[in-house]
Amino acid sequence: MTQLQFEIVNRYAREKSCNELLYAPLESALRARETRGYRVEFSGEVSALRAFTHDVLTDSVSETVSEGEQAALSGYRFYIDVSLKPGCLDLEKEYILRFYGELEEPGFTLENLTVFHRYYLLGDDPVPSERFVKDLCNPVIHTWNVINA
Amino acid sequence: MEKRPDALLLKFAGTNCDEETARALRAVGFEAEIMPFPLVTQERIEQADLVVLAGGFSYGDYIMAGKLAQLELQQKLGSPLKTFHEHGGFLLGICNGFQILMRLGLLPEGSLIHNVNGRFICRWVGLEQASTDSLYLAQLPATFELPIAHAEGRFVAPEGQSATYREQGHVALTYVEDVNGSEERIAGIQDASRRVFGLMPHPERFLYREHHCDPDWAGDAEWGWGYFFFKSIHDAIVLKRETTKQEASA
Repeated sequence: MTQLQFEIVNRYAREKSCNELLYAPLESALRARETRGYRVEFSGEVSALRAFTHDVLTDSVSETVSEGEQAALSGYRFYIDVSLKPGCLDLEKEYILRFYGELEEPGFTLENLTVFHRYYLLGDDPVPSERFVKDLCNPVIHTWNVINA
Repeated sequence: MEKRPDALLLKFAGTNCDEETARALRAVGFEAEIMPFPLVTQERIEQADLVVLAGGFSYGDYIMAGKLAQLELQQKLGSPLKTFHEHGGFLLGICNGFQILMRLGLLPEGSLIHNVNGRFICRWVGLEQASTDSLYLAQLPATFELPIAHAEGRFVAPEGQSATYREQGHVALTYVEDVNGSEERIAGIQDASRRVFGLMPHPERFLYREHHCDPDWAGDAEWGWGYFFFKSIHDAIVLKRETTKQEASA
């Protein structure tokens, strides 16, 4: 079994104030951007999985796909990956799995799928990540991972 | 008596404007049937004159709005829909239906992405006809107004294509002002045959004059602009039928 990660970046999305992620504003010049990602455990043809990712999980007109563990964007102070806890109903994942299940010859076996949202905080302001985690993540249903630059 | 034109509305999980759309279609003279997507067959599509993808939030807008419905539609009925179109069928997508239609490849290449302000926009907008040959807008004035309600309605196309679409007459409807960041202020697009049409505004929400946000609206005494939108399609289908019949008998 192999694991591969895809990060989908909307090429039209622009940086926004970090305060758009928060309930109460901070005095900070940090900017924010969001992407979404899919961590796939699979066996079989990598090319078939790549084709599936491009056809099913990406919009070719407005989005680009970045493959691998490395972050797709640069210039961040930290980013936060947020996904639903195993056992929580993730409808996006369920719909993708259902569609995959209906394919006659997908060319690969999808063993496990994790859908995550990535929040980049861009800039140099020394703002701790805890404030963002507190507002973006619900410990009852979410797991998260903070990666510092 | 001549059979009424048959409109088939496909209902996905999350489609929620189908009842209002069916009501508007019936008001102008269609037979309208709402059918859950899993029950739709090739035979049923072949019977229809007009296939409608109504507004809503199909499959929760996951991945991006309309994507999952497009994949399901493509997989199960992609070929019958293409044949339906090639044989003269009409296809209409409203709001989420436009997003699905856009991704199906039956309209010029483009995408509908998050509004430039990143927010859901729900308001009335001024619209203007950008082409002179739209079958769907034939009975509407050059400028009119309709409500919009969407988070992902910003039209984008591969570089430079939006201007080309306008030159080629694919751009049928534009916003009077920039409301969501759409290239060329595009609100509605049609294909080369002019029988496939998608738009972000909701004509079914302005069927009666009482639906207008202004109680003193100086328009028709009974009907709103939505009525004339659906009536245009109805009359275009009836005219096409008559032309086909005349050609067959000649």
